[in-house]
Amino acid sequence: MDYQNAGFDDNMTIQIGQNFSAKNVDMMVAVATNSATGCYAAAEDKNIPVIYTAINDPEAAGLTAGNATGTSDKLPVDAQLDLIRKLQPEAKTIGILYTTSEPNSVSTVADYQAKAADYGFTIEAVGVTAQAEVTQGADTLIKKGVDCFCNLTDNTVVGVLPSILEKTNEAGIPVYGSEIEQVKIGCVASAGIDYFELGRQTGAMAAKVLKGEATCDEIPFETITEYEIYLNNGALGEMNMTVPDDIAEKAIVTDAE
Amino acid sequence: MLELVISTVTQGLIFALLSYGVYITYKILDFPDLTVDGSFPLGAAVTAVMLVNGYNPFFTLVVAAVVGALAGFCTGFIHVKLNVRDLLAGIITMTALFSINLQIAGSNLAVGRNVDTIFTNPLVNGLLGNMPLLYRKLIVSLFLALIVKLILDFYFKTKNGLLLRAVGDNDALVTTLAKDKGWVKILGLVIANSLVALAGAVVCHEQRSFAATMGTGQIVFGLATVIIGTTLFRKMSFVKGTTAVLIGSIVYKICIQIAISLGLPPNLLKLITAVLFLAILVIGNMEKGMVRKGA
Amino acid sequence: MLELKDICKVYNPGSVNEMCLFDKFNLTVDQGSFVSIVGSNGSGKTSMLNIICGSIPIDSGEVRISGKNMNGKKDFERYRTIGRVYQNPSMGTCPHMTILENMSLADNKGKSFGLSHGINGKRIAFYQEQLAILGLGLENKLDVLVGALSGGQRQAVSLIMATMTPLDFLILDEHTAALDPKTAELIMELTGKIVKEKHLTTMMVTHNLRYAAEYGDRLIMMDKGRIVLDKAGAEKDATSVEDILHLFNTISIECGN
Repeated sequence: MDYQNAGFDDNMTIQIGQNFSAKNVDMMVAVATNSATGCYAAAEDKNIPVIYTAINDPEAAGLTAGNATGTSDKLPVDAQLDLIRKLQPEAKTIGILYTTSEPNSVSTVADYQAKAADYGFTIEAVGVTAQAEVTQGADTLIKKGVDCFCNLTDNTVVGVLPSILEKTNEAGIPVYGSEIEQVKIGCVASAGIDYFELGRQTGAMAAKVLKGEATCDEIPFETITEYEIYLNNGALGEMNMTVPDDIAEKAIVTDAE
Repeated sequence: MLELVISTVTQGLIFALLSYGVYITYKILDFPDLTVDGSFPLGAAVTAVMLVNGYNPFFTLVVAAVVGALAGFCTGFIHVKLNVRDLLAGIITMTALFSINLQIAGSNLAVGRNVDTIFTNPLVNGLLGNMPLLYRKLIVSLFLALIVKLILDFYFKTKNGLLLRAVGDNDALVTTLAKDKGWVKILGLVIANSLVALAGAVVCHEQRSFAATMGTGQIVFGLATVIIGTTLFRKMSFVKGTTAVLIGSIVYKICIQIAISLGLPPNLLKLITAVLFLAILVIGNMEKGMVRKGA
Repeated sequence: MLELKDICKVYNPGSVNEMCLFDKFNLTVDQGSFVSIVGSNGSGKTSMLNIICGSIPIDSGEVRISGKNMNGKKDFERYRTIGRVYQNPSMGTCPHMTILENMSLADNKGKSFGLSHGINGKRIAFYQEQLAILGLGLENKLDVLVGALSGGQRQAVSLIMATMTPLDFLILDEHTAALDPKTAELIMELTGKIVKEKHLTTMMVTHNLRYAAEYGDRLIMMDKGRIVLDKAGAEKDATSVEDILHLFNTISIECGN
């Protein structure tokens, strides 16, 4: 196994992919869109199979046909909206902070905007271009008087989650995470995916291809259909929110002592 | 091993187009041009969109060069006619281009393997027969890098080329020669960014994708290759500037590949690369065992 | 040939630093005349040159060269028929280009800078002739970078370059001031020679009263934007350096310098 980290540098990604190809690896595994497209391009010459994970929209990334497959971390948007509605029956607007250059985020925001009305919400979305702008974006949403924040799997935004939480806690606005780690850090709740599970699922697909049981183009990409509800009781308490019993029963409490 | 060398050299040749552009602005015009971070992905954006819509791959190169020229013109106009400092003028254009690129191609755009590129198309496949993709990329990139280099070398020897070199060296002289130094600078920016966008286009062909963030840090790459190249060949005046930066680009890519291949912890990749650059610059600056100042 | 009519120029109008430099300033220079201009710092000598060349705009008045009104013409347009040598030897040449390249540039003044070959092989002999006049051996150093030359050598090359193409007149802006006495002497001699050979109308600003007295057929002394001394022809020949110095000091004492 050869692990490489491109450090957010697309040029690096290109050369890492070529390195893999030159070494005639049996398979390339890539995490997230930029790594995957880089590996896929490098794999073209020898048609090395590429398995990817944590790509929100594999179709948009051009990775659904051909010798590539993997898992999508497309968020269970409906489940999240449902959860928010149940935990905040009176809420009307959801604020979403995202990065305009992250394809995962762009498509998920669109998803939220399409489905929000079904749950009686409107979405206030603020797009930023860099990590330095995130706190300003958060201020803007708070000023707009949103009833809660909802996170996507946006690398840039999630990277500064603690500073966002600082502001929202002060303003008394709950933040819903998109996966368990975010809830552990301080988001009130999440209907989200377990990235370890995602990884395991991806590994299973990779194993199939490596063993020769199937080829990539025979395996369609998979999304996680099972989601969990994660709660952070401490954060919920600070926001004076109560959890309906039916949710509390099946939820996983992240800050249980 | 050979394959690795070939793919690395190919990368160096492709990015040499970018180095040529930065050479013109940084070395010749003495103008730190940040437009590059925007014009590089601009070339890639229009290329990706055109490829996905079935346009001739070679035609995309022409279009990329034209839009790159426009980007350079913007910076030049802002600097010369609106009196904004060189660094800021470039930043303004670069910032605007980020949004423009998003509008053109979205945050990411992938080009399917069934689409022809400059490396995979009837013409090239016909000329090169059954040659694997790896070698086709090398040949086509080599061809492009050399053709552009020859054109530039020729240009710098023309009257117009001499004037361009003069404006970066002593723009007061250009005025006393009865030429408008503003327009000469604008021309330089136009040519340079045209080349940079061309580089972006070729990278898009090679990677079969566009990402809105692919421009970030390209000016740093460009400056590094120009400085590495010119430092290495400082003592050899017969080596032209274009040759020096072409080799600088290849050396840079080799350094990165060495860092990757060393197999050290992946997080240290950038640190190792930095150390390699430092080593090159120090060696290049050495004169009979003594280190000279100023890289 | 050159007419300055009622030139008015105020620096920083309306501010604390407001200073009226020229108030209806008039000067006429005949064709073929070699005018030396002296004056204390701030008398307006260099400003007058800059006004003629178009680098400084005027508030009112006219600059006429060969009968044509120059108002509205940009500096680079006027330089088509004006040659100028600056005080700073670095301003007349390109340091990172060879002597040959510099000469080729100067040779092309007034013509199109298109895509034809920059260096004209047939003109090399001519450049060598021109450089030979200097007596500095530069005609054998055509491929040397100008930056490697001494200040005096660069100024000499600047002089040749400035006078290579047909000119309406030549402006010398304290062009020997930054040189050591021996080199200054050489440059002045060359200046005299070139001006005579090419019958150039010349305006020379200098601090060196001896040069002002020895060279040229007209002497002008300026003070605070006015002409306080104007001797031409025989009158000028009769004026000695002591006379000029005397007047110079008188003015200076009056101003309390």
